[in-house]
Amino acid sequence: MILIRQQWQELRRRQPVLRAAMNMLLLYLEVVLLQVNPQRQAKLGPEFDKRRSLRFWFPHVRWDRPNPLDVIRILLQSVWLLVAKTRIERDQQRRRGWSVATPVEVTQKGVRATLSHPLRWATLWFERFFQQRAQSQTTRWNLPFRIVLTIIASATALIIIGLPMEATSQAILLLCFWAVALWVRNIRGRIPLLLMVTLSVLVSTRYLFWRVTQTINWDVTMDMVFGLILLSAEVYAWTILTLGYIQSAWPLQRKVAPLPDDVGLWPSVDIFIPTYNEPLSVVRHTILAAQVIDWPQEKLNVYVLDDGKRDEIRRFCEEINATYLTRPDNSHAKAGNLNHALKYSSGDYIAIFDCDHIPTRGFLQLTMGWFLRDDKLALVQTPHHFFSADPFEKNLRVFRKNPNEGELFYGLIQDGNDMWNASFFCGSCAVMKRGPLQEVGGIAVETVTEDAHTALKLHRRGYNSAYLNIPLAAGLATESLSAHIGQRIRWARGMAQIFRVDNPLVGKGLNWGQRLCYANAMLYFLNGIPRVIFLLAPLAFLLLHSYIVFAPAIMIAIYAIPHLVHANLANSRSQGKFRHSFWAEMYETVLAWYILRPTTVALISPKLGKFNVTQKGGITERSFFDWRISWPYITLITLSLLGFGFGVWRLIEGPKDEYLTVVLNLFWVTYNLILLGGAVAVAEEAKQVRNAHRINLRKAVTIVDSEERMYQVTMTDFSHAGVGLELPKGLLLREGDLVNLILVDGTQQIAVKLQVKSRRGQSVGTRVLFDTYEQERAFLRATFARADAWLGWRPEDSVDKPIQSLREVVGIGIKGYQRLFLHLAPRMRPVANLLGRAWRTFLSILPRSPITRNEG
Amino acid sequence: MKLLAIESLVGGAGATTLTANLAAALRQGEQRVAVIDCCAQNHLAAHFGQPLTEAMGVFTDAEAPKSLLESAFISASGVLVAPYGSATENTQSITAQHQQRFEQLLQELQELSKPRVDWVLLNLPTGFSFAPNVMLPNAASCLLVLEPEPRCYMNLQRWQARQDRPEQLRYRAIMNKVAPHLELPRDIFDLCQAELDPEWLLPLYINRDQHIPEALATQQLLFEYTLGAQGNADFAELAAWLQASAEIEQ
Repeated sequence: MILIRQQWQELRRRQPVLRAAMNMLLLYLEVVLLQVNPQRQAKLGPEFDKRRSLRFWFPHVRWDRPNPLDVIRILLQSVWLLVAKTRIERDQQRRRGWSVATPVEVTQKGVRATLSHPLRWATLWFERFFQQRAQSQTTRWNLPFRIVLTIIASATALIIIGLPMEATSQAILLLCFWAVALWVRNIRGRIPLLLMVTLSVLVSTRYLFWRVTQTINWDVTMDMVFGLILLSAEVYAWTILTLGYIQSAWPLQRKVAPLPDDVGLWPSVDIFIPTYNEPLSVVRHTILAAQVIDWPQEKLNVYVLDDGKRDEIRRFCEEINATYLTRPDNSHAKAGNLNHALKYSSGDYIAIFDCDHIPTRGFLQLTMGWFLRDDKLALVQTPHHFFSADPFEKNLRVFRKNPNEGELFYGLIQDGNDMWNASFFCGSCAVMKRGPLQEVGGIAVETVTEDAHTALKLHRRGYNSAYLNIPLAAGLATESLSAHIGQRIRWARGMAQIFRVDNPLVGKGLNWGQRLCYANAMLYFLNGIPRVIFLLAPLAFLLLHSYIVFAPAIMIAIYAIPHLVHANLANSRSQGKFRHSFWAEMYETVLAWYILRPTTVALISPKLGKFNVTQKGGITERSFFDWRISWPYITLITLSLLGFGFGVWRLIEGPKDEYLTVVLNLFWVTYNLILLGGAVAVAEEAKQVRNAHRINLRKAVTIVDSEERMYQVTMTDFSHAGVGLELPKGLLLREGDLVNLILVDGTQQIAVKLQVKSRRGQSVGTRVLFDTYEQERAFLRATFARADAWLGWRPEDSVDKPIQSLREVVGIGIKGYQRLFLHLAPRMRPVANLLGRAWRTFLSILPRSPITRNEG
Repeated sequence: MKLLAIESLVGGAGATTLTANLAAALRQGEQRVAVIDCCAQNHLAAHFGQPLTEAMGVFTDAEAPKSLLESAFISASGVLVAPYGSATENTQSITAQHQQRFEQLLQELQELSKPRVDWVLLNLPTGFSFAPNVMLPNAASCLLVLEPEPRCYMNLQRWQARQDRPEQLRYRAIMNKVAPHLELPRDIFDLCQAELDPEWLLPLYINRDQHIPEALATQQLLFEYTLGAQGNADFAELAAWLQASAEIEQ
């Protein structure tokens, strides 16, 4: 008792009554309920057992600042903890699920594991068998065996697709399929993936077959017209879905090929850095970093190709000893620029970097190996990696939280293309072989996507391409939504142009894998029209009362929902790591309207249109809403809202037998509204005042103060202009202080001066003061061009959880409407704020997992 | 018991300081460490906080105690320190008495069983290991301390020339007082890195950290003086390297 009183007094000295009581309660609850031994905990220090703390189990309760709502929080959380599984438990379960013995293990443990997970065992065994068969020698029976197998498989598939069924048996069949897909969903390996893909293709094809044969009302003209329009969009979607599955069925995951030990055998490389109007502050880092790529200096030449013909850049190149090239005209934009430089250089290989893509020092050593192994190899492409937030990440504030828009292409699709020897050139961060490039007449100039077209020409000539999925260079993402849309318009137009002038499906020299991969890459950009059709389709019924799918609602549900679910499951499995569910729809919705016209025009008349340069490295002084870019979304939103209103009216007033149809359409239009809300949310440009992007990291570095004391400090971020440091206790730096930062580069060391600009506790922000280019290069090699600079940026362990992803997309949609509302009626801001606060308070009451986001 | 001698190539390169702080770093890695000061300047013990007036030591002119360990002390950091002791003649010549006492002390350290001594570090005066009748055991390891300054480069060449006699010690060299932010030290450092055999020069180095003399001014070891200093990281790295290296014999 005396002890308790002492503790109470101790607490009271520091805190008011209520808070002290709460703290006391916490302390004693911990001791009683969780059997905490305070002395042991104190001894363990910061690594103390978190599970023995109420703060761990009730992360949303602030024990030191009690709040009346905490009672509800504690109660809810307790019930939830008792009933539901926490994330840790789920993770443990999943991990247990992953760890399965290999099928050949005949130990007691192995047998037990096999017996307890027969399905897992079967898939693993099948995968082994499959791989063995694929590698074994061809025998006489091989071909007939395959033919028989193919015939049986196709026959089964045809029966499954075409067999007409009534609602009940259809439902049972699809439920079976669904069960299989869910069953194998969490099993590692490629066979379960292929199984899910097969199921998805079967179900979707069955759906499409049903749509084509049974759901067009040929009697009513309007229904027929609308129905056919929707059907064509669905055929397109099915094509893209299937081609996408083929494309990414078996990503190659190519590894680095080592170079010979004898440096004399390494070929010579020219580095081309084309630029047009980008400021020197953007270009200089790329040029300096390119000069210090790890490669024999006499075999490395850097060429700066300036179509802007600027003296500033010329002088800079002279100072740092890089070759500066201009040309009399600017014909064919970037492609022409590169072709011009081809005439004035002579290296065996050409590495191309966009002027904002800073190569890491290991770029050539990691990419060149494949050329020495494969004589027919003409191209090695690496991912485009961005260290700044793209407009989606910036305006939705999700930078580095989710896989970004480019991740799907560079993480999966290019890797999948590589399997079919169809990975293509993306304009930058790639190495090409001079001979083949000159053989196809240099970089292609017929279209505005010169990169993909050049690769297509190389493939037609029988050359190979390779894709190395390691980020070895990094640059700036497009800075605003309008710039992003501009860039995509160019890509879309270019791809459509290639589809017209040099269609990969016809012509010589390609294998079928390449044809399909290229076709998919090009057809994908034609998604503008179908996407708009999907956005408008539910309105046909809601506004015009046209039955565009001529079938009972229950049949539609039974056919369409499995089609969507399977497609989502299979895609989530194959691409989930690189793009979370439902984000693709949002990206497409944003672009749909804008690529609709240019792609159509390019398909009809491929010669029209010119090359536009993507703006990068700018600043947005304050947030603003881009009305100019968002009018199509707002129009569609207005129409959809109108449709929604009509839907509700039909629900109340309309005939009873239409209920289900109305409800289905209402769901559809709501989903569309969410996607459109997302598009509107992206159109509000978040402000970006910093010209130099900061990159976070944690790395021990050495600094020297003016008294020549050296300290080991932690570098917390860097940018082109400065670094952030976390200082040890006892080191005091004031604003304006000069210190030396020591950069270690192999055995060499170099020091650069830092000036302290700001300070907050033990964290200081500094600016780098370079005296020489040597220092600037060394700084780049230690930061942006470090060999491992961008490792760990990719979503290696990103897991797609469709439900959570849907929640995110819905949240973004709501955010969009909130922003739109505020911009339309700024006076309502206090009301909106109040609603927002109420919503957050409500959210804070909900139970949550003991692991917080940053820990997990 | 691993024996490691530490000697400066040129006077002032920092062998004594390195011995003291290396001993502390090894101690922090849970090693039992003894240091013996063989340098008549008797500075080593000052790093460990011995009062400057204290005359007791292993090689002192005064009558030696029966057990030489009595003239040693255990520092606050847990290192067994055997000071040189005050000497009337500041001489570097090795007498028979030196020889005898040194061997006796090694013997006594060897016989210590609780706790056993893992490491014995010897602080040698400059040029000591080349003395004609050096008292060190055959094939002992010696860490030669270099400082990136002009005399270092000159002496390295002389040192090379003296290598013609039968090998007694196994030398490795380490760069101390490395200062990348100053032009001349950086150039000499780069020159040495480029020219010296990488098998001979240790792959790590100690930076020129002003904390180190500041610590001595307060008669403290570096880690006692301040924790954030770069020197602490350097010494810890060297200690870890030595512990992992198989070169130094028991």
